[in-house]
Amino acid sequence: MAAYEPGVFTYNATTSDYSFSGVLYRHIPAYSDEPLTARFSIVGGRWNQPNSYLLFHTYSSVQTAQLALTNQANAVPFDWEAVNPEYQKDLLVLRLTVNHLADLATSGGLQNYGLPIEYPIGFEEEDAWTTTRPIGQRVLSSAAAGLVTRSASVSQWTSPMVDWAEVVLFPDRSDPPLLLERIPFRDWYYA
Amino acid sequence: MEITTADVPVILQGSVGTLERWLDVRSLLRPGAGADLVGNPSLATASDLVASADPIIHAFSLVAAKATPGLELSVGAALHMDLAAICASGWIRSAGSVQRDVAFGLVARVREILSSQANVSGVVTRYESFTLHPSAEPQTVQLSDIAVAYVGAAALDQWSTEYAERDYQLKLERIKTGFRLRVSELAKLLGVTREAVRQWNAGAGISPDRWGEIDRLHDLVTQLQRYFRPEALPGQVRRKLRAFDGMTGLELIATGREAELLLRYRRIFEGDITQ
Repeated sequence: MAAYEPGVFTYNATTSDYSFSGVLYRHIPAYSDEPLTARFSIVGGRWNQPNSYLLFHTYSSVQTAQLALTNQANAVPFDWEAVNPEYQKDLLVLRLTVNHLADLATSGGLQNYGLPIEYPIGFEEEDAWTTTRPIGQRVLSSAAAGLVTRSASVSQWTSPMVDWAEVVLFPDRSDPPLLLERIPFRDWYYA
Repeated sequence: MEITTADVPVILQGSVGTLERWLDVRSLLRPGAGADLVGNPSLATASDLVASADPIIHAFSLVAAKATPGLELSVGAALHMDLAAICASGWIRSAGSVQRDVAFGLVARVREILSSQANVSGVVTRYESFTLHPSAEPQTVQLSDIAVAYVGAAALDQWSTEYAERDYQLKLERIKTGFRLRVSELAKLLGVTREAVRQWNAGAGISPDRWGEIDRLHDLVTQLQRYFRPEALPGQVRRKLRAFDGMTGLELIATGREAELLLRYRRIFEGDITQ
């Protein structure tokens, strides 16, 4: 797969939030012909209750996207090789510029939302979602376009944010991302 | 009942007398069966006639399949559906011979079906079917419209029950092979004894009170095979699942927790989540 320049996160001290510009990554089932839809998030997740508001999940690096997929499988567990090809995940490469991402990535930002600075340590399992879902609701209630947070799939968050961040967007609060490339599972997951 | 190729010419070409002997030798005729339907038409008396005709229908379906492979199911369906029409036709000669007369009407229909099949498909068959007609002599008895209607309802009921049983045998097979289950595992999942499973494997009918459980497991296999490769699924349902305190998929299913398992998979495979 082609190499893309890492995106850039910029902290805005006045609004205590982040802007992002550059490339983001997202995985979707290979069968999906709606790469940019957020509707699959209706099943609920870390930041939203099932059947509540929609979210558009992305990763700021390919490595984080790979680790996330591996972690999803390890948590149950299963092997992605055992999965039917149509349910293996393609990787989308997206270009996006967005302002006002709530800060759930830095120690100060986490504390502002009542989370410990060690987050996401101790919040890896689904039972932690009872804590994180109300925070997602709180961010939605603000004017934020989404949030930037530490991926629970990585174990170090001291390197530059773009190495380990996840960007979660409210679909109607930013311009739609531009789809640059769709990469089949075998061509990106094992790369 | 065992049917051989020697039976085919008897059914497709034999005279009424030959057919009657064939039915007698195989104990397929029940003297007096259907007689009550003439004087006392009801769903019960119609069901009695249909029950007496059912082994004959299955014997003829097997014969049809010997003559033209692959026709057993469709001939069985057609003969069940045609029972009412046969009862309304000139085949019924007397109150005491209703079942025997129905049997001749069924033979006539089998011959028509096979002739028609040969004409449509263009395939040359070894056995030419000879047309059979009811006697031209006046009938001494005629079934009332309501009796014929009851026969139609009873025949449809009989066929749908048989078809459902066949359907559940197939579902059971799909569950067994999908999860690669041993008899003891299947028995545990369905809440029955191993002996019951062995009897089903030997072809015994599956009681309708088990259909709900079989449907549940069948739907589960179908859903899980959407996500996992068929060859991987048996291993997957036996893995200890960290997300479920080390229980296996089969243990979750046996304890009625398959919805939790499916939700987990659905989130991963069809949802949009991050870790």
